[in-house]
Amino acid sequence: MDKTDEELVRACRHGDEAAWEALVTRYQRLVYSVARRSGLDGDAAADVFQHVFTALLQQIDRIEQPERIGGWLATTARRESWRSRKRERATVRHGRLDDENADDRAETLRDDAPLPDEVLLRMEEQSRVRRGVDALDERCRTLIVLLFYRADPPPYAEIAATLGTSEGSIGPRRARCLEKLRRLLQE
Amino acid sequence: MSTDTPHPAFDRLSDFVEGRLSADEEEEMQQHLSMCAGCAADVAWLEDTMSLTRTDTGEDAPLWVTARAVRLLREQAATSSAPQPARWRRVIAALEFDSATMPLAFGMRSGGAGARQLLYRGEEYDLDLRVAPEGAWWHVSGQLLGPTTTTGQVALAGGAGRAEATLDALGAFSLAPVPTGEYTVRLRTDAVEVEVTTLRLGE
Repeated sequence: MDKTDEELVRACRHGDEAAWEALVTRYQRLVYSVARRSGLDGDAAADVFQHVFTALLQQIDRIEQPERIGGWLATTARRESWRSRKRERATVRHGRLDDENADDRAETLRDDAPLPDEVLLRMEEQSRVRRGVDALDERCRTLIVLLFYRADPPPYAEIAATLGTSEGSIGPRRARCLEKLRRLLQE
Repeated sequence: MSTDTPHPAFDRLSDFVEGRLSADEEEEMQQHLSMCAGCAADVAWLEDTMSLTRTDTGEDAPLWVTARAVRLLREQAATSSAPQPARWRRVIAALEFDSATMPLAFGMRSGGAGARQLLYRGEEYDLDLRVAPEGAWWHVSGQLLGPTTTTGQVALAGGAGRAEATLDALGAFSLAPVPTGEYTVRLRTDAVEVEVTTLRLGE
């Protein structure tokens, strides 16, 4: 699938704008999703997004494992989202009108935990699969999204109607698209 | 009996994983999978991938958000005339929140049981300070959060007294109590010095 993360990071170090754009585009969904999953609204998530990529640009020469840039971005997004939540909670808590006891007021902000590692790793894997899906031709991409990106997929008859094809063609086409996806992801 | 078991088509494997086979067909498939590592691996890939996609709650960032981040490189190239910026720099932290300024009705300002909390921000650093009374003196503790690890030192200094401490791996610290007065707080890590210019402890 195009250039590797390592190639993109090295190119960015040389100021390659196209490589930077490719890197941001490659990981925009992951970074934004981590912020939203952390409980931030659109505005706060947008702020976190900018902080994360600003930090990346500032530290790009010092990144130790450029091939793991996805993990770096996810971890940084998690940390920035956590801090954003802490600030949010502090202002909300002290602004409450109903009186709680003194212990509550002295409560630390640290009880608001960041996203667990397992959740973060899973989101990274989901991002990777999604990138593969987005690299498929449009017909395959549409089919895969309709069939597999919902907890309860619609019946083949309905999908066939949506795509304007025969119901009998859905199964084989699905298999071909999945095989293409697997080849893409194995590269 | 032929030892060459025909492998199910990928089509069929997908049907199996999606639960579209009859009970008999499923059983036949299970038997084949128990003997065929290649097909078992295919099925495992299908199951893992479908599990990931079906629970994917990700969303794309709005286009303007992505575009703004893409512009960063060009902006950086445009503004930097000198080579690398200084690795160590000074950041003045601005007060964003002070629980002592909350209305009296909340019972905090009168020196109630809870600690006073102050939140500062300077560039990409957050400083969370707690001030608790200890007799006639003040115990200051807190945490510095930054983009990378924030181990280092913190110094609280003023006309009335002085205290120093080390930041732990999480950037947290606890200072010895100091008397009422006005202080400066300086936190120094290997990348930055974060300063709070005026901190009043006690009235």
